Amino acid sequence: MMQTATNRASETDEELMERFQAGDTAAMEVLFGRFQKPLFNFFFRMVARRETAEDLVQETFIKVCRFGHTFRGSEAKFTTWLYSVAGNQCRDHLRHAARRPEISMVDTGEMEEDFLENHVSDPTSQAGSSSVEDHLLRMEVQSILKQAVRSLPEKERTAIVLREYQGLEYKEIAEVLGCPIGSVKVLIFRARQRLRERLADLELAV
Amino acid sequence: MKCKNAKILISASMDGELSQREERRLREHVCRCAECAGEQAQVSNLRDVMAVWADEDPSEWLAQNFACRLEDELARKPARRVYKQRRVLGTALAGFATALLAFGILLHSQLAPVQPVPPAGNVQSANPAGQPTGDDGAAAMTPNATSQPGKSVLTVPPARTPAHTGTAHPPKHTVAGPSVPGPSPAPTVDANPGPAPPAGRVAATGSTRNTRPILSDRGSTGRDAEVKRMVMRNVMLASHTEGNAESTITDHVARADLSMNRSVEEVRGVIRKAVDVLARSENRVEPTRNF
Repeated sequence: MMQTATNRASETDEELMERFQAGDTAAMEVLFGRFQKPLFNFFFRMVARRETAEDLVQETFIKVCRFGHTFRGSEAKFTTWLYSVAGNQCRDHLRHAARRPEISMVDTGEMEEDFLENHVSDPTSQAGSSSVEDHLLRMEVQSILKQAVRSLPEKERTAIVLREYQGLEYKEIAEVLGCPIGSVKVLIFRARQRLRERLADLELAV
Repeated sequence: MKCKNAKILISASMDGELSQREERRLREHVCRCAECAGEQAQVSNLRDVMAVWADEDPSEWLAQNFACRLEDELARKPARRVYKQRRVLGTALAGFATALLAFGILLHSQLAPVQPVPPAGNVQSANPAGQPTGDDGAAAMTPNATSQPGKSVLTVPPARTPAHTGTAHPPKHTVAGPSVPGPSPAPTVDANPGPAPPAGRVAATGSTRNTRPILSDRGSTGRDAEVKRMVMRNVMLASHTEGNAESTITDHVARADLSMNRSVEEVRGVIRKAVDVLARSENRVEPTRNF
C-alpha cells in the first residue's frame, strides 16, 4: 500500500491521467492533491471570492473526470490541458457573472484581521513595531495589486496570471488561450503596461 | 528596432522568452535608447511588486468535498450511459411505431370496403344469402351477428314519410332489395316489416345520415357483440330523439363502426361520446353508461 502511494507520488501527471483513463480513480485524487492549490490560486486571482474559486476548482476537476478520455498524453502536457479546461471554466463563470452581478465579498479584510488577531491584539506578541508596519504595508500593496489585476481585461488577466503566478511558458499560454505566441507576447506586454499605469494611479511607486 | 517593438521584447525578455538573436538586438537597442532602458527597469520593478501577492491555501474541506463529488460523478457515469442508450432505443422504437401506424392507416384506407349508400329509409342486409334481417325498429337493430354467415350492415331506422326522405341522395348502388330513386321515393322494405318508429323524428335534418352504415360485423367476439348491442341500443335511443342531435350520433356511431376492427375500448370511447351528446342535447334519454 505504502509502495503504491510512493509510486503514485513519483508518477508524472500524464502517467496518472493514463491510470485514471484505465479506471484507477485514486489517480484522480492524486492529481487533485497536486493541482488544487495552484488551480485555486489561479481562480482566486481571476475572480474575487474564495468560495467561488473553490467551486471552480471542483467544477474543473469534475470536467477533467468527464472528459478525461479525450486527453492524449502524447500530444499535450497535462498542465496545459488542465489550464485550458480551467480557462474555459473561468470564462464561462465571468460571462455568467457579468450578466448577473452579485454582491462581491472581496477578501481584502481577511488577512488584515488575521494579522491583527495574531500580532497586534496579543500583548505578549514579540513582533516589533517595524515588523507590524512592514506587514501592513505589504498587505496594502497586495490589496492594491489585487484590484489592479482584477481590473484587467479578461484575456490579458489570464495571460499575466498564467505567466506571473502559475509559471507557464508563452507556448503553453498560447495553447491555453488558443492564440499564437506573438499574441501572448503582446497580451502580457499590454497587461504589464496597464498594471503600471493603475498602480501609479493608486500611488504605488512602480 | 523601433521602441514600440523593443518594449514588447523587453517584457518577453524578463520572462526568458527571447531567442539569442532577439536578445542581442534588444541589448543593442537598450544601450542606445534611454527610454527603453527605463522601461526595462520598470518592468523589473513591477515583477517584484507582483511577487508580493503570495499564494494562499484553499479550505481544508475542498479535497473532502471533491472526493464526495468524484464518487457521485463516477456513480452517475454508467447510469447516464444507460439512459443515453435507452433514449436512442426509445427514439428508434417510436419512429418504427409511427411508421407502422402510418402504414396501417394507409392500408386500411386502401382496403376498407366502400359501404353502399342505400336510399333513405332502408334497413338493408348485406347478407349474400339474402336472408331478411328486419327493416326497422328494435327488431332491425338487434341482429344476431353470430348467426349471420355473411356481413350485415345496419342503418338507422328509416323515416316513413316521403317528405322526410325527399332530400336524401339517390343511392349509388343497392345491395339488397329494390330502391326507388327520385325526389320522394317510397320506403323500401326488404322483409319482415316491423313496427315503425315515430315518424318525423329521425330525418328532421334532411341529410344522408339515415343511410349511413352503423356497425359492421367484422371481427365479432363476445365482447364485440356486447359493444355492438350497446351501439344499437344507443342508435335506437338516438332515433327517438330530435333530429339535431341524431346526425352527430350517427357520425360517432359510424366512427365506432370503423373502429370495430381495432379495439373494444376505442369503440366504447366513441359510444360514450355519442351517449354524452345525446344526453346533453336532449336530456330526455339517459342511456346506460356502464359498458
